[in-house]
Amino acid sequence: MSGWWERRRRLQAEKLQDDRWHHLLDTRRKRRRLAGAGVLALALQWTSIPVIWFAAPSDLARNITISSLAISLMIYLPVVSLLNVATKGSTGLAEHLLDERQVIERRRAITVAHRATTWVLGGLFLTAALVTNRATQDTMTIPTAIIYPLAFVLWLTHYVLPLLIAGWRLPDPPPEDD
Amino acid sequence: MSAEDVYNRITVLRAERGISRRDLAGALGVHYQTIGYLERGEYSPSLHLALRIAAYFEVPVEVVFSLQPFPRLGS
Repeated sequence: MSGWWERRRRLQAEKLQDDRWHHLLDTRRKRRRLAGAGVLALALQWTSIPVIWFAAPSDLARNITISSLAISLMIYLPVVSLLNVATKGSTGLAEHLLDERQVIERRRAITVAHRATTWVLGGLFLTAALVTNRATQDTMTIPTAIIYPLAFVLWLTHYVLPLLIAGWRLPDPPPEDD
Repeated sequence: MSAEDVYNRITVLRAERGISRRDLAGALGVHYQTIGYLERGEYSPSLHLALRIAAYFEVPVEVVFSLQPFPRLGS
């Protein structure tokens, strides 16, 4: 791996030690609110899927999809930044930049997230099975507009769930005594 | 007490030698919050980290860690 890449990762790790936002993250209640806001942002992304399915192509579907994406990103970006600071990058940084406790924290979060995405994909499979079983003909029309948002929301769910789970589970950090 | 509780004297050893959490964390190559979680008993270290902590304080590992609560000083 190039020295440039490693330096960039170490700089990123240092930035995540920033205590400027500590007052927003110092209690489990505050971190859980943030994780909840992250789940809300993700849920907003998912709402565009049935809208596209039932209403696309139409102005209504386009407007709802773009609005939900914009609102979702406005919530998502600060929430993800703050949760990364709260968890000190335990789900985002390379493992060799973490200590053993952080690696365990990361693996627990990834395990729970894996279970959650298994349920999400299972739900998607069941929905697909129901829709195709109810179809009366051998072929059906699916809006082309659904492909990109569905792929994106699946990727986003897979990407961000470990962070949301790590933020939700994080115990209160020990007070500074030095 | 849960079956997996491990008690430690890190706080006492650190206070006795005037070492801050950040200094100890830096010497061991761990995050300073990890030292705090260890001291609060919310995290049990790996054998490797436990041995390194004992080596840092230059004491046998059983002086720092125990499966039984340490007796209180003066008791």
